[in-house]
Amino acid sequence: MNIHDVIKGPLITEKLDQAREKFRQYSFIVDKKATKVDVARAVENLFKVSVEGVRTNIVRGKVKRVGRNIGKRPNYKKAVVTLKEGDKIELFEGGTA
Amino acid sequence: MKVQVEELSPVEKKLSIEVDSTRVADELTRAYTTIGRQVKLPGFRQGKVPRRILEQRFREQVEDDVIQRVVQTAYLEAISEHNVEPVSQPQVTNSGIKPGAPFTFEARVEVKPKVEVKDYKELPLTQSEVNVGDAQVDEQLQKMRESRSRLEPVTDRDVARAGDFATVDYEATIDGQPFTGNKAEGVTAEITPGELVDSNIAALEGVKVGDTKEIDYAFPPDYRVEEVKGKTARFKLHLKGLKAKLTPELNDDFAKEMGAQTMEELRTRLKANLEASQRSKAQQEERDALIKALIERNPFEVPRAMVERAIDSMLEGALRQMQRSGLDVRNLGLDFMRLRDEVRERAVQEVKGTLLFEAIAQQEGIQATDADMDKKIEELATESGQPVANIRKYFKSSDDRLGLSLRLREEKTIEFLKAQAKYS
Repeated sequence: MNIHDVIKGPLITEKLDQAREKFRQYSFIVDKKATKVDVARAVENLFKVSVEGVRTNIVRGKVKRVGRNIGKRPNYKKAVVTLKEGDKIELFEGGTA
Repeated sequence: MKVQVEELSPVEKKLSIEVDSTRVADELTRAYTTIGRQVKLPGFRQGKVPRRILEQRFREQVEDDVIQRVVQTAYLEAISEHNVEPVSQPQVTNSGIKPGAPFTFEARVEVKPKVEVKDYKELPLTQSEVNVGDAQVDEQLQKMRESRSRLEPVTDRDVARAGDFATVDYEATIDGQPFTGNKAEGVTAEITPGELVDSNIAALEGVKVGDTKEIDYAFPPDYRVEEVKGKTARFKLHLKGLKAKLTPELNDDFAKEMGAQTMEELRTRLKANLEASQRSKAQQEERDALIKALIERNPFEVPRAMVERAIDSMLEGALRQMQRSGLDVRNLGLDFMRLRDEVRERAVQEVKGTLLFEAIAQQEGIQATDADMDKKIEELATESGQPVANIRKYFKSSDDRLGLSLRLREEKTIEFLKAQAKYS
């Protein structure tokens, strides 16, 4: 799989922010068909870091209703990437001040 | 905080201000805390967004905000610390926030020039006299009579006489050709020798109502309509009706209508009014003469901002007066840029005058005391016919009081200068 098609965007939440601080784990929304190997390669190439491990899972979209209408949010694949010690991805680190 | 004051010209200063980095950092922390409480970001509960993320997202906005706040407080501190009296908004240039380093910025601001007045004694003045004679009162009365006169239809005759006002329809041609505005109905014209374009038609004398008369008329060569000026037109005038001007008699009834009891009272009142307006005009002239003489002896520069502000207030005053007299300012199509230029010279003089009087007052220790203020307030009360308490209330706020005391100080200064002046 083309590495530019793998990662769809960063996933930043309170919980994942802590994981990043404590375990150097960075999370992404990735293409549903991407494998762990795809993700590892993509992250290494795009962010120039070394990946130690990748864990993925499919996040089921919530069923939401507005009045009589029932809808379902799309499922997506979440990948939690553990980096080698000392590496980091600027996109997640935030400001420098 | 470190401040350097540089004098660019007598009316402009440059302040270079350096603010400690801790102070900026404190401000930044405060700003991020406030914004952190408000924003909602996906993945975070409200108020739980870490500063890092906030910085990533709102950096520019927050820094601009902080710079503005820091600049404002630091600038105010700097001017009060270094006794700079600004008369304009400062022009600020800053180098941006750098973490760890002190924040610096420069503010250019116009200041009141330090004026030292010399040779302000024995200024030349011409003695002006207030002198209202009966003739002027008569003239005024005549004007009032005119303005009270009415046009009444003439019913007892139908032949036009000199001095009548005629209602006329007309149609005119030049060399048999019509031109723009050559036709009108129901126009009022006075039957008296004079120019047709001023609505004076002597030729209608002796014409009967309902009759038509043709006359030739040459438009004056400097007439404002290009098409017809200097040309001769044939006017066909149709006399539709006659009106006579009724001017009220000058008697006690007339006086009552004008708000006085008797003719005698009206005359004294008019005389007092005329005297008052002459006196205030004389005062204004004396003030102008003083300022002119002072400027001649003490040339100095004035800050642009003060002049612009003086122009603003002059134009505003003029506009307000127009509005009060019932003109719709928006429809006049005034060219404000040109107007500003026209009054600029006067505004410069006004600003210089104010500064000069202020300087003299300072040099001579002239001040408006509380007693002076009270006296002036009472004067204003009698002038406007309102109870003293009302006027006092009006001058209650410190701003208004300050304004009044400045005005009084200037008045006293002018009195002082006049006492020293050399009358010719």
